[in-house]
Amino acid sequence: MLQIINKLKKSFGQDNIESRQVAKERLQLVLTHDRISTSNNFIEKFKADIKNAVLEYVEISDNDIDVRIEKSEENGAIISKLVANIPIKNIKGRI
Amino acid sequence: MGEVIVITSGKGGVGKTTTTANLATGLALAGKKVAALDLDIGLRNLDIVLGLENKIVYDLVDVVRGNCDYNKALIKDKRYEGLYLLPSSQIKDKTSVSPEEIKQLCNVLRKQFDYILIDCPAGIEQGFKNAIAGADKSIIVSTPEVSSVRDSDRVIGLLEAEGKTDNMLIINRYNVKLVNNRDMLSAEDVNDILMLDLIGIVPDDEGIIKSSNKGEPIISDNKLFISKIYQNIVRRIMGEDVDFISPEEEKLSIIGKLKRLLEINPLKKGRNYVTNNKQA
Ligand SMILES: Nc1ncnc2c1ncn2[C@@H]1O[C@H](COP(=O)(O)OP(=O)(O)OP(=O)(O)O)[C@@H](O)[C@H]1O
Ligand SMILES: [Mg+2]
Repeated sequence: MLQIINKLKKSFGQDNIESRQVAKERLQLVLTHDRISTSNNFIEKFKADIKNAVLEYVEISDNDIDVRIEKSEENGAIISKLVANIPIKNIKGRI
Repeated sequence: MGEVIVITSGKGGVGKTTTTANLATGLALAGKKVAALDLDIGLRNLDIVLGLENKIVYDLVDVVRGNCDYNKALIKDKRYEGLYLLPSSQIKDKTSVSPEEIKQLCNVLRKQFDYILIDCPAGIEQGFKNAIAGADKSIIVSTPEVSSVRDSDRVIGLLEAEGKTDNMLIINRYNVKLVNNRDMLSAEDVNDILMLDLIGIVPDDEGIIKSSNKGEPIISDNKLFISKIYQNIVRRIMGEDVDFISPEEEKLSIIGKLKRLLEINPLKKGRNYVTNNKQA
């Protein structure tokens, strides 16, 4: 009986947020961060690989590479975002 | 040579001890020789859930300290042929044993038992490290709640950092009504996130409390549906390919197999970077 009432409530929009879906989305987001922050060398390894790729195209100074995973809001939803800030010294050769 | 399996969860109170008691009993009922080890030092519980609390003379710390031989400390369960309990100590603290000592103990027990099941304490500190040290495989117990799933994920990361990648999942206290009403994470949701080998979905069941009141693991009561569920988990642990019995379980087993075939495992990649973790 309670279930029927709940279903009705949901279909009439009184309680239309399905907590199961909310739970799943929140978990996926938080775990992305947990996994990265609890890993010792994820960011270091990631940085090194990005740097190598970037070096194929441009010159950068060694210390200037800043790579992070950040949370940010986009259209009302919280998302994980890869943020890289890499000042370029010089373009390699002619494009 | 026996197999050492740790039952762990990170979060407290999700059903590690209940699961250990039922699986140990079930393996014994299936004809295996089983040692159940309570590694929750200071918070001894497996003895009372198994109904063996009045038989304790020596405990785990006595064995590790060399105060007595392990054979003397192991309590033989007279009801189930092949089931033995090594109780935890109630007074000493978790630091009184080391991971290396537990590993050695497991290696000794391996020679005599088919299965050694370890009941892990909550948390990821010293007690956790002791409990996982000697394990070949792990069973992660998670309830379908955000905090439990999150802690499970953390524990999986720590296990993998120790090179322990043979990890199975049991979802405990599952409430089909809530799931159908879309107010509880489904088994599929949980396994999408944790991506382990799902070996069981145990419903939330009043009978569990009654059985621990009596000190008789519920798996021994053949009439009950939940007993069948535990029996199937036992068979999966023994390497049998058992069909899942509820529609929910049935669906999941197929998806799980497909996933493993296709290796749709995007998040697992992230974990592979975890090679060493100093925090815990
Ligand atoms: N499937 C279930 N249905 C109903 N109750 C359950 C179920 N599984 C466990 N419980 C109950 O939940 C409580 C906690 O279980 P248990 O002691 O096994 O958890 P635990 O993970 O070992 O806890 P701790 O972290 O404190 O060691 C107990 O009261 C137990 O009876
Ligand atoms: Mg316990």
